[in-house]
Amino acid sequence: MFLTVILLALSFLAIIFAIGMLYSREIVHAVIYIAGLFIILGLIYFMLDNTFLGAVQILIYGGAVTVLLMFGVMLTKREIMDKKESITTEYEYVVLIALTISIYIGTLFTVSSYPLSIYYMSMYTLSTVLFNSFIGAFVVMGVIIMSSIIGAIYMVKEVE
Amino acid sequence: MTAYLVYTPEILIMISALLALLFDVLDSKKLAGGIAIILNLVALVIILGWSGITGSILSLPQSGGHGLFYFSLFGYMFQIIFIIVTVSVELTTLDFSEYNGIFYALIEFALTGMMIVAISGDMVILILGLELAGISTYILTGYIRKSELSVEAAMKYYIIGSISSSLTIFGLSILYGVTGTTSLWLLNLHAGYSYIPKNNPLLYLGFSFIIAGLGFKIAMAPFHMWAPDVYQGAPSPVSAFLAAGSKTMGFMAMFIIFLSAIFYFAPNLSLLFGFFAILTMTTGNILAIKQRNIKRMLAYSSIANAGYILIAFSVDTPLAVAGGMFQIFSHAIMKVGAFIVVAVVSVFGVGESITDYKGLAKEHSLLALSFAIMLLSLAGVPPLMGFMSKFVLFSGAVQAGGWYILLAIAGVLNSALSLYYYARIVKYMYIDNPEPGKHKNKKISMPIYSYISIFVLVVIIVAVGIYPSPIIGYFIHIASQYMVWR
Repeated sequence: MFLTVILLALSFLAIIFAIGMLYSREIVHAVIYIAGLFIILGLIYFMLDNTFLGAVQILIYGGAVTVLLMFGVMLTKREIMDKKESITTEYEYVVLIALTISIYIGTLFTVSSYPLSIYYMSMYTLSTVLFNSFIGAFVVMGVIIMSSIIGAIYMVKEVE
Repeated sequence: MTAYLVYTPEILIMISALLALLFDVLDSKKLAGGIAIILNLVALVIILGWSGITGSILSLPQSGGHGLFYFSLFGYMFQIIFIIVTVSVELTTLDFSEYNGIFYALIEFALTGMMIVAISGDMVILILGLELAGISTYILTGYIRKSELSVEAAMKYYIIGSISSSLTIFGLSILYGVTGTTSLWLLNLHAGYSYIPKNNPLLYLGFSFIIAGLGFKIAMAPFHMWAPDVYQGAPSPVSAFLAAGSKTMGFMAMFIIFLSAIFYFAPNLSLLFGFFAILTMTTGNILAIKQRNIKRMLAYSSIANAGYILIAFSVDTPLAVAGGMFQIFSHAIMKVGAFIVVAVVSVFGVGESITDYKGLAKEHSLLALSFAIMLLSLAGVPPLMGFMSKFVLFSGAVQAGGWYILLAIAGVLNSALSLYYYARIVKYMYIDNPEPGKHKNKKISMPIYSYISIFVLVVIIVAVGIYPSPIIGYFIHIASQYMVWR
């Protein structure tokens, strides 16, 4: 009972944050709202006993994606940021996209042959998979990051 | 330890990238490029041995699937193309002063990514290979940072590349969701099992995303708009690398995904690929006619070639796939050569407009001859390599019969159309007189390394064109071996 109330409260809060993001007049505020939304979704996953998904949601979405959005705002021209308008103006498209995604997710759940076997994914299994069968991918990932760092350093170096 | 021997070529190329960085610090750019070329050639010799073309110096790795990777003659063939392209580009850049160690490091990283794509047997490693090659080539495109055009091209390429990657990843995620495995070779192996749904609408959704994503990579119409801008803005050696290497990598990824068991799950894709093939080759050729910039013209011709190669995906018989591979090989060799010639003539003060090539044969007869051979081969004039590859590809379509013959007819008509804009440049070079004031014969050191790479490429084009039977036989052997699961 108590948990249900918290879950409902969190869901309500998530909707409030989502609406706040749509109606905020400053991009930075919208980013803060969306960060809050991501964290609340993470908490909901925790409450539903999927700690792994919750941790991923908070770390990747609440952390990395928000920082990425902040960078985007930081690198955008001031004039665009100073416009005091609601960011979203074309609501019909928003509704269309939301409907499409809902239908897509709905189809995923209804297709019976879908092998979405929900098994318990722990950090232990993750590390075992990552450092055994996927070690090659892990190494290549490191090379990708190295090449992008080298490229980024080259691109921002002063032109002599 | 011996298990890691199968990755020797990739490891050698990685080492050459790191050494190039080291020599960049020591400020010896020639050494960085030289060592990269030598290590690439060592890798090439090893792969030639494994692919059964020459005797092998390292023992042959067991072919087939190993975890994330799938080793086949098919993949080795593509690795050979990647290395030839990279070495030619690197040889050319040795003549130019603006390319330093970082350039070689990045191009080697891109080559590593392409090599990984060629042997990938898993969606995860396929995407990582595509990304490694992608990120390195975005930076290479903007390598000349003083040039606004170059940086603009890099930005465009980066945005288009990101969209393409995200579409591909989304499509593959749907494929994973439906089949429950990321391993593409396991998917092949288990094609007949009941746990993999046939004709599932979600599969088609996933394939549309993958086709769109990789369609951007191979510049397939209607996803081709970025290619002319990027090839024009990028430094010419990088354009060569993009047109010959990056595009070949996109085709390799498509071969891995679509020539595996996919047609078994979703048989209706053949018609779609046929439609895209005709659309792409016609768009490329028609738009190429009105181009006044040589690099834009070559870019559109590259789009048209993507259309020819897509015939192989539609027809999907061993002969057509062999023809498609042969066309990929010949397109890579001809296109890298053509862009290298464009890079070299710029040293002699020849601009990028096609009218700048008027009377080129009178002053640089060797360059003009090589360029003419490459352009005529691209047009498909016998007895050059481009004719042979198109011949095998179109006869594959004809042999399959049915509506596939339409594809062959469209290909032949398009080749005739393309002859116009290729032959126009040959006419400019050989018949027209140079415009006054052009071709100031600057006193500069001879671009000797570029001449070497152009010479080797021309020899390949002519030799394969005159005596194609061994290489055609080899391609048919590879294709039938790769498609053995059916």
